[in-house]
Amino acid sequence: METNHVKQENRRALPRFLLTILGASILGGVGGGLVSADRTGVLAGSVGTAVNRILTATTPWGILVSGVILLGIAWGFYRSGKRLYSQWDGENDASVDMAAEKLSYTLLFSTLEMVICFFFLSASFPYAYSQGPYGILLVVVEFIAVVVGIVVLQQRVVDLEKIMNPEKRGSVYDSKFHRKWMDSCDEAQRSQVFQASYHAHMITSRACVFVWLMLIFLNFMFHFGLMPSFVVLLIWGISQVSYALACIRMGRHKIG
Amino acid sequence: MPLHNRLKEYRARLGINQQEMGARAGVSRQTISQIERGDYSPSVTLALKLAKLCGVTVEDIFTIGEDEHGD
Repeated sequence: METNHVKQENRRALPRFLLTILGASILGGVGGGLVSADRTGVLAGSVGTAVNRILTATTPWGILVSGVILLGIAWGFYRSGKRLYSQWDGENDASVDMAAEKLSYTLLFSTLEMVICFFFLSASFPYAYSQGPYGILLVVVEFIAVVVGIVVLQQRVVDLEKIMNPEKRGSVYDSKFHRKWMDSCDEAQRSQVFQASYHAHMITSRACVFVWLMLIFLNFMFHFGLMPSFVVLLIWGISQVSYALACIRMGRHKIG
Repeated sequence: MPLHNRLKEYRARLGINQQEMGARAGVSRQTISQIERGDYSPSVTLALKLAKLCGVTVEDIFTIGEDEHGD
């Protein structure tokens, strides 16, 4: 009975799985064909030149411009969240829940800016150096200034969260912040964190496979070697192995 | 199966807000809010704590409704 149920589920899911494999193969074939069509490397050359020009022009100011835009948006969300909380009468759930959501958006945009900062900092070495050593110095100064802005904004968000939720513990300047914050979360909040983490793990896994596939094709055109594919697979591997090990560990010990 | 509750009603009888209820139960205001809205089903431990705070049994606050299939 149980075995039949398992077989039935497999039979139902198999056609879709095969269709997905077929679709991916066709897509891969078309992509490979397009790449091989550019045998002379004309397309690769022009794309490479365009990327070089764009990065040479944007790298010196990328951190500053993205910082002003994204931290500006993040600051707007923070102010809005703070205002909503200050108007909270202690009963209306909607307004305080909205305030918490605004603070989540503040963290989202500030984290996004952090990623962009790291990108432009790494891009500054090959691209800003062409404009002299001051090019790199300028990027480093911008990087420090924007990262300080991000940290201060995140500290304000955490402080406001702690006022909204007096049971919360931890300071952003503490190296054990994440552990202390998690320890002060109750069962519902932990459940949300776990669900969000699982969602992020699944998205990361899919994104890694997609990016790896893109890198395989693009390597035919741009000949950047195996390093990018290796890095993506390393991230995927770490994510998968750490997830599997955590499952094994939790299976041995009690949960909660 | 959906879990129905009368937590908001019992909290009103105590005359306390969600923040205070959360503090007494050792959870956040959001968790009390989510339980009242039916968005979160509390653990047995928390359900027992809430019932004790309200001075009633767990069954007085929480009831399991029938799902769409009538199970």
